[in-house]
Amino acid sequence: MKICNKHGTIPSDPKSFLMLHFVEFQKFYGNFPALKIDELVIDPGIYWIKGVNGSGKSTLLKSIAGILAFNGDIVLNGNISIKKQPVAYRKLVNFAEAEPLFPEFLTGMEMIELFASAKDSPAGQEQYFIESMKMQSYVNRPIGTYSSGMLKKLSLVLAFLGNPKLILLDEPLITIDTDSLKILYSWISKRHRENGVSFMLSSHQALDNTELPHAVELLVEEQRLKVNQPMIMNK
Amino acid sequence: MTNVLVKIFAKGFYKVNSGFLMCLFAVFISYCFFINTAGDIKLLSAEQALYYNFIMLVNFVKSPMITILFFTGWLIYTIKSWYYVFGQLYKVQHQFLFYSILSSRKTLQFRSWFYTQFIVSLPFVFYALIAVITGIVFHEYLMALIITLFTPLLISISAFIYVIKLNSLIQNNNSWWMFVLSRRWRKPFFSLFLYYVSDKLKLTYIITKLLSYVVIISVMFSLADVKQDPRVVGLVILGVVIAHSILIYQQHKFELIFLTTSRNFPYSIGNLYFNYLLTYMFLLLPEIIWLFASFTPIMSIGLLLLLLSMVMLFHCILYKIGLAMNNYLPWVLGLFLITFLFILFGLMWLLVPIYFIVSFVIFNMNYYKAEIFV
Repeated sequence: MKICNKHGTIPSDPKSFLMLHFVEFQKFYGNFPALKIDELVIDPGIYWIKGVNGSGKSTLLKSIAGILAFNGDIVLNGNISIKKQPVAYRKLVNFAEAEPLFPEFLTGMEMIELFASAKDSPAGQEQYFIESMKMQSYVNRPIGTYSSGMLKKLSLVLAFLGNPKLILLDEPLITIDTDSLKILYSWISKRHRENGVSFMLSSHQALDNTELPHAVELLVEEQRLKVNQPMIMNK
Repeated sequence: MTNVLVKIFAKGFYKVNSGFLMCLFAVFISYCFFINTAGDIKLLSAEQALYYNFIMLVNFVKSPMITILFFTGWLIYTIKSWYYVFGQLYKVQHQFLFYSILSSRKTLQFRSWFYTQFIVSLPFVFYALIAVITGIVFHEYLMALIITLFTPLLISISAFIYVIKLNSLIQNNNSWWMFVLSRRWRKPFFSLFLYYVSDKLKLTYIITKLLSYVVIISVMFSLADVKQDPRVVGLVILGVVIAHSILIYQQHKFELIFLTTSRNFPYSIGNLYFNYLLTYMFLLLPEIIWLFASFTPIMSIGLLLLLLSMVMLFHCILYKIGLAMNNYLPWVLGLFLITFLFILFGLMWLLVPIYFIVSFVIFNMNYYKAEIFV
C-alpha cells in the first residue's frame, strides 16, 4: 500500500519524496500481535492517527521513535534505516509521550538542556518555545512540583528541539488548556511550513480543521494501520 | 485490610530487597566454603570446625556485643523497611489507602500494620527465635528475655509509625537540599542516576556501601596472611559487585521508567555503554579510592578494570532478562559462582576481557529490545 502526494501520483524518484517506509513491520507483546504493517510508504505531511483505546497508536509512535523494538524495518527519507543507521535516524525523529514521566529532581530547564544537547539543538532555540507556552515562571523549578499540564507542555517543547524531519506527538491534545492548544497548533503549522517538518499526532478527538487543514487521517484498527483519506490509494 | 497491606508492602519489600538477602546468602556460602576448606586441608579438624560453628551460634546469645550487633542490623533493616513503606504509600497506585484504610479505627489499623511488619521482619524474627531457644538451653535467661522483648517492641514501633504517617496525609517531601546544592551544575546523561540515588535511594546507597565495606574488611582481615595473593582482592571485588547488585537493578528500573524517551536520543551504542561505565565509576568511587590507596598503581588499574567489567556484565544482563527480580537473582547467583571459581583457579585477569566483551555484545543486541512500560 502506498500513500501518495496531494495530487494522487507517486513521484518518479520515490527516495526524493517519501518520508517513512515500513518494511514488514511487526510488533508483538509476548505472543500477542500488537501491530502489523507489511509494506507502507508515507509521504511528508501532517498525519492524525486515530484509534480506540488499546488499538496500538502509542505502540506505533513509540516504534517509529525508536523506543520500542519490533521486527522488520522503518526507513526515513528513503535511505535512513532505524536498524542500520540508528543514530542518524534518531537525530531526525523526535517524540513526545502521552503521559510523560521525567526524573523529579531535574528542573524543566535541565531536561531541556539534556534534550538540546542530545539533539544538537541550535543555541537558544528553546527560548521561543518556553516564552510562547508561557513556561518562564516554572521552567527552573524541579519537575516534581509540576502539574500534569505543565509536564505535558515540557514534553512538547522537548519534541520540538533540534532539527528533526519528523515529530511524533502521542495524545498532544490531552491535559493542556485551550490557549496552549492554539499555541501548539501554531508551532506545528510554522515548523511544517518553514522547515518542512512532518508530524504524526495520535488523538481520540478530532484535530482543529482550521488550524491544520491538510492533516491526513490514519486509522489504527485490528492491529493494522489503515488510511482514511481519498487521496490515498492501495497498490 | 491486612491482606492488602501484606501484599503491597511485605511482598513488595521482599521483591525489591531480595538482592540484599542474596548478598547475605553469598557471604554465608563464602563463609561455609572457607570453614570447610580450612577443615579439608587439615587447618581445622572436623571437631574443631564443628566447635567454631557452635561457638558462633552460642556467642550470639552469650556475647552482648554480638547481640548488640544483631539488634543494630535488625534496626537498620527495619529503618530500610520504613523508607520502603513511606515510598510506596505516596505512589499514585497506592493512594487509595488514604481514603480507605483511614476510615477504620486506629487500633484496627495498628493491628494490620503490626502483622505486615511482622512478615517484613521474618528473617530476623526467625533468627531471634533460634537465639531465644539457644539462650534458654544455655540458661542465658536475661538475654533470651531481652531478645523476646525487643522483637515485639521494634515491630510495634514500626506499626505505630506507619499509622501516624498514613494519618498525617500526603506531604511534599522533595529533597530541596539537593536541588539547591546542584542547581548550578550541569547534569549530563551519565549523572542522572547518581542524582536519583541521592534523591530517592539514599538508604539503599548507605546500606550498599556498608555491605561493601563489611565485605572488604571481613575478607581482607580474615585472609590477612595471604592478602598479597591477587585472588583475595578478586574475591573482595566480587563481594563489592554483589553488594551493588541491587543498585544496578535500580539503575535499570530508573532508566526504563524515567528515561524511556532517551532511547530516542541519537547516541551510538558505544557512547551509551561508555555513559553507563561512567555512572558506575562515580557510584563506586569510594571503593575505587580504596583500591588505589591500598595497591600499586598497575595492580589498582587491573582491579578497577575487573570491578567495572563485572559491574557492566551485571548491568547488561538486565537488558536481556528484564526487570523481573526472580529472573535477576538466579543470574546474580550464577555469575557469582562462575566468577568465584575463575578467581579461585587463578583465572581472574581473564575475566576482564571476557566480561567486557560479553557485556558489550549483550548490550548491543538487547539495548533497544529491552521491554519498557507502554
